[in-house]
Amino acid sequence: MSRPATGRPPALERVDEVTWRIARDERRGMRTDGIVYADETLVASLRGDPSLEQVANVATLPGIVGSSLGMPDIHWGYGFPVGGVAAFRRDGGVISPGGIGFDINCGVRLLRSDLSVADVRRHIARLADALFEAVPSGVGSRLGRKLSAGDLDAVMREGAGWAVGRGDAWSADLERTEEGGALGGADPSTVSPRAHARGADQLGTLGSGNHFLEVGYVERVLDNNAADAFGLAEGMVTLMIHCGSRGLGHQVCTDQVAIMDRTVGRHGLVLPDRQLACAPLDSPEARAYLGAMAAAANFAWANRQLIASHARGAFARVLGRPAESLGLGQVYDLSHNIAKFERHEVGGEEVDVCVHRKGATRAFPAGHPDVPATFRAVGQPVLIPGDMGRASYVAVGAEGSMRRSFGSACHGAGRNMSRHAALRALRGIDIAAQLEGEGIVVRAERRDLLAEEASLAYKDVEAVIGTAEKAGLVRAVARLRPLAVIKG
Amino acid sequence: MDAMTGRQAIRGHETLPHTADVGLRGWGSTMAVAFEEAALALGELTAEVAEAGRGGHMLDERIELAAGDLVGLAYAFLNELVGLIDLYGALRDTHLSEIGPSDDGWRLRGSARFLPYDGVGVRRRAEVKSATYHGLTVDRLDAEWTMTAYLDV
Repeated sequence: MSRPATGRPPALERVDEVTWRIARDERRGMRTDGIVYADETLVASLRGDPSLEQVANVATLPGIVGSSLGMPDIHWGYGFPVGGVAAFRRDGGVISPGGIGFDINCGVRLLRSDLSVADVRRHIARLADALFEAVPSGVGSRLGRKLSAGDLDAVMREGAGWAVGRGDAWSADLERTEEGGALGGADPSTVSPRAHARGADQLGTLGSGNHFLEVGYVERVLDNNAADAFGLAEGMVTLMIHCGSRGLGHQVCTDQVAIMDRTVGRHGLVLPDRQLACAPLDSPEARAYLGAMAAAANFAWANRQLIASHARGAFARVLGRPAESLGLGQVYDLSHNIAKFERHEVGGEEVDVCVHRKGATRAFPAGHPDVPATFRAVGQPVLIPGDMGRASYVAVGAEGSMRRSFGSACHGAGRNMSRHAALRALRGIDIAAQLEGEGIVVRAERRDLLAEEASLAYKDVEAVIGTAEKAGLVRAVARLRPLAVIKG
Repeated sequence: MDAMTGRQAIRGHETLPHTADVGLRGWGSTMAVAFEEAALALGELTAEVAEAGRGGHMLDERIELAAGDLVGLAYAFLNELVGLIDLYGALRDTHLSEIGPSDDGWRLRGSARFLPYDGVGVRRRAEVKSATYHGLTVDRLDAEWTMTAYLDV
């Protein structure tokens, strides 16, 4: 059952320079406060945005612990806001597919290299062409060959590890991937035939929308210790990959929202928004969703693994040297649309909770046992793409994330303009030509739609990073600038 | 809109802005027409069909869906089309032969036609992840039915 909202945006009380509270008495049914991390400019951009209502709505869900959280890049999503984080008790809590998102395990992978900007600059147009050719991109991009049903099930169980035996992964890739590139509990039998059909020929493809490949370079190192641990240095060329679980993951979420929507009443749940359809964590519906979500998440990790492999091949062909000799090692791969069972301190007690991160990354600090041993002394790498004309950031999880955000941080700059509005505002402007004037090569399936993803459509990543640092969620490690962008 | 009267035509569709995504609205004199118009809006959002592509061989797919209520049926209808668009091609039109209440909720029957993508005359446009329940409504005002939906793209 759904309960209508009041229409008045929830009031924000300022707690400190970058912390704002939506008090639990703002809305009937809120079980806890909402907390949003934002500076003055980011808060101003949220006035009138339904994302604050969504933070309040999430606070009504049964079993929520701590606060319903909005990261600094928060914006309007479906059910949960994008940039939303919420944790639920195992006993009495719920799982909501809308708290993970339609693109299950959408995430970011970053490769470093031994190449300097000078090494790459004169090859950059050819490199962009080679990447555009090697990685199918654009709406409905497909490989042209289908995985067998057995192979697809293996991908959904094994994730990035599926690529190891096929020569599409380096030995260190898996240990530098969240969850080692495979979430436990994947159950391909809970993934519908339609989802299987959509995923069968989409592995190794980028897709469209805000997904991209970006050849960039480390413009500035801001934390030498962490940069050393991550293998980054000023002037170094990098490759960032942003994509998810393609049609397979989209279909899993669509199917499971419909299933949970039908059973909400049976579980006695009353929801302020139907897109928050959810099920008790101990219910058959929750178990089925978790099995399907893990399968889709593993598909996404295999997808980014294959894309990285194809991109390494493209670098090698253009630069005329094996990828190993170019030092194209992986810095990290993380998810920003996922739910996981983790241990967190709640009310002075360590408890098992199911953390929903939708448009939010894990950001564990130094010493956390789930941070790969390679980085444990400094903390987990946090990869935060900005927009294609300005900058992206590599950060590291900070201690405050465990106290303030269930070990989470922002996942990008966050949109501040609709696709419609961006196309309208930039009508007649050739965005690719404009970026090329700034030294950024662009390859896109649809140049005419690049305006939807232009810098103007996004918040300033500097404000987002600055807020996340002031809130104690992350520390900035390096600022990356784009050299070439491949868009779907 | 009718240019002379400023009133909505008896059937039609449009797209709607959303911060990250896009919405659509279809309307008409019957519920079936409103659904069919919403499908046309979805087809136009997701593909472009030039004159050269219009003569291609169309794939015809039967649709049979059920849901507990009317809004659930709209969610199922749009997402059935989103999945078929990903698999088959540009959605050209739908025809609903039956839509209405059933013993345990609502049901519809009909068909949808798709033109396979060729990258020239039939090109993909936006990739829709899913239609959502957010702002999803099916309403009747006087003699006009309207479906409004927001899509995650």
